Amino acid sequence: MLGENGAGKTTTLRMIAGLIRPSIGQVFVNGYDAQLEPARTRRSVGALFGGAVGLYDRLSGRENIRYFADLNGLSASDAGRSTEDLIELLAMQSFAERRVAEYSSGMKQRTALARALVHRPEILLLDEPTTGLDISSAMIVQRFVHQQKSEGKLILLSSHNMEELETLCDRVLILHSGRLCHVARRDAAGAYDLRGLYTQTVEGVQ
Amino acid sequence: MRRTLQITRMVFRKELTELLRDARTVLISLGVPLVLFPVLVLVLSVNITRAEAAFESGIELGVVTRDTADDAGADDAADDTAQDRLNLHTYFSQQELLSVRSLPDRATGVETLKAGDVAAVVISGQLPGAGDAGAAGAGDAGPNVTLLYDNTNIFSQAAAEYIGVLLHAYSDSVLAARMAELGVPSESFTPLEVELLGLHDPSRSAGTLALSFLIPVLMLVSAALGPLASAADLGAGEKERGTLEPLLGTGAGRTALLLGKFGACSVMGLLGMLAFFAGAGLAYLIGPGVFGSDELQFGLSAGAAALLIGLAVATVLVLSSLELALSFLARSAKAAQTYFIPVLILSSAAGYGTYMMNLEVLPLWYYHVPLFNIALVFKAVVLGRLGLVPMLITTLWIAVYITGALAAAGSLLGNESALRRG
Repeated sequence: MLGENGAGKTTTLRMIAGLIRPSIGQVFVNGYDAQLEPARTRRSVGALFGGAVGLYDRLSGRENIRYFADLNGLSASDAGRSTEDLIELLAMQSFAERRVAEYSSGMKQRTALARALVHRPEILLLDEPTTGLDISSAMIVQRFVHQQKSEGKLILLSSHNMEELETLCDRVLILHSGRLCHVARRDAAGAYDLRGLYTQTVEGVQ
Repeated sequence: MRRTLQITRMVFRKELTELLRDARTVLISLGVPLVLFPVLVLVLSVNITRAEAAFESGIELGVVTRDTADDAGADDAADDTAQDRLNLHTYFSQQELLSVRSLPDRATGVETLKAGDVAAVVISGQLPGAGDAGAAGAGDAGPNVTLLYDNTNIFSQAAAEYIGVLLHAYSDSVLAARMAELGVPSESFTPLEVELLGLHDPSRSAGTLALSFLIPVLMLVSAALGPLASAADLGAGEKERGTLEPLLGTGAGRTALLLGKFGACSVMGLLGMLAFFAGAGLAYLIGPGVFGSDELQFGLSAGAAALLIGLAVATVLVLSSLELALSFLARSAKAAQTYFIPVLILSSAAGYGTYMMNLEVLPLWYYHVPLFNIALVFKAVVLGRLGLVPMLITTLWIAVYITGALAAAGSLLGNESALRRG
């Protein structure tokens, strides 16, 4: 999803995650009505929201991830395995035991990503996942998203970064003032012209 | 149901772990209540010891031996007055604790007292002679002895009390001597010998009365203070840190999340209350004199103690649920602390408010007033006068308070506004 601040990207992600209700219409996620079956909807979704990553500072990274595995209903053995797999996958071994209060923003973002994925959801919602990260942390996150995509996960990602969207996404939804204005697809050569499309769409709406 | 219990347990364990890892929360919830009373008692004990030492080292007393203003129209009785003044001066000089300083007049007495050079000043006028009508000081002439002291100075007040006792003793001795001269036995002036006899052992009854005041105050105040820091952290703190959003995004039910938080908050509240009472007990051991007497007996039956413990737990649950609901209402921990102020004031008012209430004549509607009803039941349990109806009314209200506060907290947690960040 591409759009300026206030376009409705985060609101859309929150509605899909079952955190807020749509003022009109319905949200179906993986076949579940997000309003009628919120618990099932949430279990099939892993979400990472922008801004503060929302980790518990007085717990370690490992404890944070494990807590969310437990809350999402994984058995003790599954929760343990999934936690360790993600720690390895996101290269968190060196700091997973430390309290989150001591983490850099990149470490926090990786922990938050692991937390969003620990219950192995079919759908991943990522709200500006690389905003505010240094280059190496952003690259780790992008590589991770790419890997999840290649494993067949459905990923809905919002960003201001057009290059990031061009690299990672198969389709780009252009949002403006709370409306979906355009769905961009790769051209025959597998490329986008997001900058041109965005300008054209927004100017067309205005 | 099983899943809800599992999640409640997980949330409870995690919240408690996190709270106990937070040095600030532990310090405010457990450390401060534990040391508050002992430190207070230590400070008071030091001051009391100092005051006692100052008393024992002697009281500087000014005596106006010749007040020109008073003497202006007193020439006729000059000899008697001079003799009595001399006697009063001699009497004070004979007292072990007093160091007497002669002062020329009232004005000098006032200045000396203001300067702190003396603790009190006695200004002696003319004493009535043995044949004068009326008792000394009761005639139209007004008081014939003035005891001047600084009523903004505790030491001066204590000195005045002591000197007042000496003056009464002196007055009695003068009266007894004069009656003896007239051949009247001193017993004639005290025809009634009154014996004040309480039903219960004085030490035990004084202890029970002290407890009937202290228990409601300490219980209500500690139950309000104990969960305060935890409630602010678990509700508004979650919003502020942005951890509420991912938490609500899990498949965990909100009831289970709330109950887990409520459990952790209540346990911290109970630990805070225990710390408060441990501190109070420690303070009593350090300086029993500060509590009024070191011979108070705080005996409670096993049944009363069990009731008090049950009621204490219920009070913590009431205030934890209320503070948690207010915390979810607030958008930041700072705002939550502001919301807690009325709760603290009301809890303290309820605790102190029952002090002068006589349970025997109290209308039943008092037991419908929030928090006051709990304080009254605490008092009734200590005094052994708990009626079944007040107990039932209060128990029902406690259940209503907890359920109502948790329902409100649940509604606020489920509300989309809960996702607004501070």
